[in-house]
Amino acid sequence: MKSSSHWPKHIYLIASGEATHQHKATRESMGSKAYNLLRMAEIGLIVPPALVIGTHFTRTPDECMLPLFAVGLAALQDVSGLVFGDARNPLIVSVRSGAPVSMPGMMETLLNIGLCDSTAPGLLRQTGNPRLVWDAYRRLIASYAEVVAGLPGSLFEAEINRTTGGLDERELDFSELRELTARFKSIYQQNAGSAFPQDVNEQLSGAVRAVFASWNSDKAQAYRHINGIDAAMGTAVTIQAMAFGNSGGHSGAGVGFTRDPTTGDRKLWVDFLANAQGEDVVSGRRNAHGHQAMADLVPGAWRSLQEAVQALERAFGDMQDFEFTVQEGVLHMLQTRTGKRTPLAAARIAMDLLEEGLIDAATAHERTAGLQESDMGRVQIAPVDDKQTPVSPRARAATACPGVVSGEIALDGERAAARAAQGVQVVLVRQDAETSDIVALESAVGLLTQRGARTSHAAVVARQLGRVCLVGCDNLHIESEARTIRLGDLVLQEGDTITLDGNEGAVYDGVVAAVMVPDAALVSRLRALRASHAAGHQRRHGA
Amino acid sequence: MRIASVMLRQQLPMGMVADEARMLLARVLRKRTFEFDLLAEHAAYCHALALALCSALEDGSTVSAEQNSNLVLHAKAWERKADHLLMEARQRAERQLRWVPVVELLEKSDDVADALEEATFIFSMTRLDSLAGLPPIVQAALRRLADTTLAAIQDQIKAIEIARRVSESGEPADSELFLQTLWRMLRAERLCDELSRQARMKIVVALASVPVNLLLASDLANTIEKASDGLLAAGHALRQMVINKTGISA
Repeated sequence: MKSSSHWPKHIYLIASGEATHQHKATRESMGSKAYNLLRMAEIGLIVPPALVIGTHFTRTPDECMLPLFAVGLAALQDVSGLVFGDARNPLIVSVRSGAPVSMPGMMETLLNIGLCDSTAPGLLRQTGNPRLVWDAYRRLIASYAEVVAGLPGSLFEAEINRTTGGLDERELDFSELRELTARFKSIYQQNAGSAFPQDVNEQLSGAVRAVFASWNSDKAQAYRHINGIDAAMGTAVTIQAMAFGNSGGHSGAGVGFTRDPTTGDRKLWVDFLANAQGEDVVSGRRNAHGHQAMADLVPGAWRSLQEAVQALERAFGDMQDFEFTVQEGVLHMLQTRTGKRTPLAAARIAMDLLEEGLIDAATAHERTAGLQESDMGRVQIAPVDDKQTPVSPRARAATACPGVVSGEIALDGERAAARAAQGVQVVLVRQDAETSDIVALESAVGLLTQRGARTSHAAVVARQLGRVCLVGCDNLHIESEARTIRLGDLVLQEGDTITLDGNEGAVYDGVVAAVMVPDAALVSRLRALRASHAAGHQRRHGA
Repeated sequence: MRIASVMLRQQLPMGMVADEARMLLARVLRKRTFEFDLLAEHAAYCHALALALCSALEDGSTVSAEQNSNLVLHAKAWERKADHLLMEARQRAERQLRWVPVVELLEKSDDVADALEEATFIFSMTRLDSLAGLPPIVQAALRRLADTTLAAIQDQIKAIEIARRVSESGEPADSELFLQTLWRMLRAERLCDELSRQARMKIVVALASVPVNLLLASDLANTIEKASDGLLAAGHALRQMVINKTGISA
């Protein structure tokens, strides 16, 4: 352990098996994600080593640069055994935001910082995977251009489309990705007025400043306003050694919940993408697979994950939302936080955790005190009688938030807000489940997307807002210019009505009748908990 | 170019600018290791072939005829590019003797590329409508064999990158890492041998009554194993090449 007298204040080091935070760390000082990362390391889970720049520096990011480069980076190199900017054994890092309160997808993240022309062969030496190296490098240039240099992402997306001819970019081989990297560098230079930085320290300082700056982005401010989050708390920035999920056939990235966040059922809820990085899952731009894909592909990592989630619930005493990477079959836990959930799930989880002895009755009562019995059930498609013809769904999708809603199709936020202001129920239909749609989600009763995962940030926000949400609808095709959508063979205009069934993952044409089906057993358990709490309260106060 | 343009702006004599450019170019060229560039590029194409085969075995028969045909075309293109690299090395060897061991190594590596391309073609035939794919138990056994070959190719790529530095600086840590990585790559051949036998057992049990599938699956297992044999030979050639160049002891 380093001497605390030489260790800078408001900078923290996290590494598995090491007592490394030299000054007292709190959730407020290092952000919720990093604090949880520290706790994961303390309970023995494998986490990639990280350096955390505290929330203290949000308003004055330049002040963190001296301690970061003079002390912090050297310590991170020590614990990782890698060297930042080294041609032989380079340390490649992610630079992530992390406020004391979770703001999913609202701030910036940069991956692969430290990769440049001279370190690329070093990463190849570490991974033996040329495709990974050039894929990581071209991703870095595009994301750095967008987040740090402020260039539009469409510049790079257009180049990808030119290269792939509209096919899936995952089909590109290492030489095509290498050519793409060269073209991205050229696009960067032409539009930013300077070359993409080959000095890794310049990359890192630019990334840290950009992530701090994203605390004040429009969407972050809107999110804070909606959720009543104090702007003064600021964000921390975590610099973490990268684990490469796109390092081949036995690697991947995933996001999950320790229990079903929609129903509260005791089952792991995991989205996994083979040969991918975490951002691919949470960005909402790709369809992820369920846990079976992970169990089949990397059975050892799947077993480790099942053990890890039990350790997480024991340590944190609540359902967790976690991210992980598998590199060459080895599981690395990247982050954990208390999972957002529906009211129904909140009740079931609290009472199950009480039953399992992970929380006490007072905590279970506190977590369920604000819940209404009327929320303890599910809105479902109404059963039809013998005289009625059952309706058939027009498309299927993955369910990210349950319930049934009917509403007018809106293809963008402006339309959704305008129609909602006129008192019309609106279903937002989008290609991707992206966080920039958060304001539009406020106006809508449901969200349907062509692509995306159940654990993408937009789906998380939809659940938090209680909006019915279906993602990854393969049969949906949006014609933005014609303002129409296709569900299989059926063409619908913007303004036509559809019904989303978030329980069964179905999309219907028109309005379909729905009914509320209460969960009597759950209501009964909730009543018993409340009665027991009230009796205890009476005894304590002698009333 | 930048330095030259600054010197010209400073109105320094042309001769001086040319000398400076020559010196810089010579310095850069001394640092380049063209032999290893070529070896790395060839190994990268082998990696692309192995990765595609593993993904195909993962996907099974759940792909369209067009995707199946694209896979075969991609594999053929990678194999041809790898072949061109071998031809380039042969041409260099005619002029410079130092390229002879590189050619010997690349010839062995090219056997790996050929075998993987052939394996991809054989697997594509199992996806034809009339054959309807391989049973999951056979596919899983073949995937384990292909995955092990892919991992060995990744070790080969790591070994080439380390060898590049071993030749440049001769650091003891690099030499040790090179030998460890190479040993892992060579050991994979024995593992592939075992996995191939296991796969053939599964193939016989599962496909005894389907002769065409039995033939194709057995051929596939043998061909993937042939790729791992090629890797073993390429690994020994790489070891010899580095030992001759640096004098490190094995």
